[in-house]
Amino acid sequence: MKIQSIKFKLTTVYAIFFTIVFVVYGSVLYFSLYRALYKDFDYELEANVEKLKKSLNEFTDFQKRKWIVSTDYVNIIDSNKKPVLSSKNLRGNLVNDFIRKAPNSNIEKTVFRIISSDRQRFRVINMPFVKGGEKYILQVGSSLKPVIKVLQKRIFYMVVSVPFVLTIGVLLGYFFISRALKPVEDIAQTAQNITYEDLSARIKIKLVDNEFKHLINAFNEMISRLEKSFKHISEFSSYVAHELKTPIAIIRGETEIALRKQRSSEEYIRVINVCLEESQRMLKTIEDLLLLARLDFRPELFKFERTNLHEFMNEIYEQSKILASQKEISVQRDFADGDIFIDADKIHLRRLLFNLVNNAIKFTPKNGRIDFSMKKEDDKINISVSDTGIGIPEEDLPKIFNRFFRIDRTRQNAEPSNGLGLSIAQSIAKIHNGTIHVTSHVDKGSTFAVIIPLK
Amino acid sequence: MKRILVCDDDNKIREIYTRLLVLEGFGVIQCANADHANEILKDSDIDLVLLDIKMPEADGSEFHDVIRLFHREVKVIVSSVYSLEEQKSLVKDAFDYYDKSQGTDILLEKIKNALEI
Repeated sequence: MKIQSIKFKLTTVYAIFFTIVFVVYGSVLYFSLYRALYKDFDYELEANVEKLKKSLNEFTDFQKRKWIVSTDYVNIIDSNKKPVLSSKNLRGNLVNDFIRKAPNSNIEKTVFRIISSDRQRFRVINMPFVKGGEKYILQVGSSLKPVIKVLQKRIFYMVVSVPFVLTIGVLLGYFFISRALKPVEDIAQTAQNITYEDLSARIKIKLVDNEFKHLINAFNEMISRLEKSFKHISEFSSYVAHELKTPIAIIRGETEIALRKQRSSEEYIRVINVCLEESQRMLKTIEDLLLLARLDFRPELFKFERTNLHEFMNEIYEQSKILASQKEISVQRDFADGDIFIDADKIHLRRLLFNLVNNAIKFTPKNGRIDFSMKKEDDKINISVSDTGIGIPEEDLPKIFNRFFRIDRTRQNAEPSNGLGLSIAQSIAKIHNGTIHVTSHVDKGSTFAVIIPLK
Repeated sequence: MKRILVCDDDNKIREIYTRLLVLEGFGVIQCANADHANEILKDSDIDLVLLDIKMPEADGSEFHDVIRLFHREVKVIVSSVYSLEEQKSLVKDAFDYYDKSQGTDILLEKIKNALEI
């Protein structure tokens, strides 16, 4: 495990915490045992000293009896701290130590003392006793050795257990945390398996904790979006190839036929013109595609300048009138009053509008009508181009901005379109932070509204 | 004289194929969509159909089934800008397939082959 890992940190924290809990709990138990043992001990001593007191009260002259109460050490001293009676086991220094540590005979209640002597520790109860008008102190003591032994053993086991507990803590911690973090491993593993060729991998979400569900869902959705994008790109490449193949088929067909035998000059000129036209058509398609790529991925290449929309739109209006006059289509305008300024890339904004105008002219029959309007809507500008043309069927409406989408009805067009006009228009609107909306009714006409924010 | 129906919605392509085939001595009828082609098949005596299929809708495919059902003797060569494999996967069991960018020599070869000339 590396230091810089969550697993390491969490496992360490867990193991330490686990051990601390063990130590604290062990200490609590230890101290309660300590108290219990001493309490019982003192209780025994008290019982014994009471017994002693009782027997002493029964006898008038206690000097004549030697009292040995089990293994206890018994000592009776007078008010001058002189021993009156001692048990046999109180020898040598021990009895002196007992006497030394005895309290004053004026005490009213029992007093406990601990006496260290002879490399042992004794707990002694000192009880005041009055007999025949004289004050005495009754001392009953017992060796603390058994108690100390038990307590020492307890501490020893606790201390010796700590490394084991620590190890168990580490193992348990590592186990639980690894399990909990397994989804992270899965994500990493799945991510490894994803290449642009195979985007089908997903992480299973069944037995996963809630915190990870969110992450895994986000991750799976991201892969799905990527998959869609790649599919889109590959379909697009396919479309492009086919778009360019038709002009090539035409050039090839015409030139091969022309070369089969001697032709007239007019025929050769015609064929050469066809080749020229078709190569220009291919060039336009290629340039349009490059423009789309720039619009979508390199918006910084476009030059924005402060544009007076009134001037701009009037220019477009005038030019549209000329274009539309060929089909005797009338052009009207309705522009809001007052100067309106936006930051626009003039060249491309012009292109956007002419794409719309050209479509309007193309799909509107003779004597039809085209309307321009421009008005402010809150903090946005709405420029729309309406026509009284053939309209767009409802089911096609969502598709018209797709690359290469063309109206299916076979019109006898002199110039076939490459289907990129509206795509380009939409992308131009996008670099101006705007959008294009379309409404249309079959055989009534269509309206394309370009909405651009003022800032 | 063998008669060929050229079915393609692109004017220029239709013109080229018509001219090519007329020069080779075939009778040629043009049409721009499946409905029109259907009528022509019913009324005239056609030996071969050069059928353009538009991807991805490939409405040519349904029409091809119609031809096989009602005009079994008519040979069909499917044509498109798409590759031969893609054409084959969209229209099954046509007599032959033609990629438009392959050029006129190959087209003539396939037609002559279909008409056993």
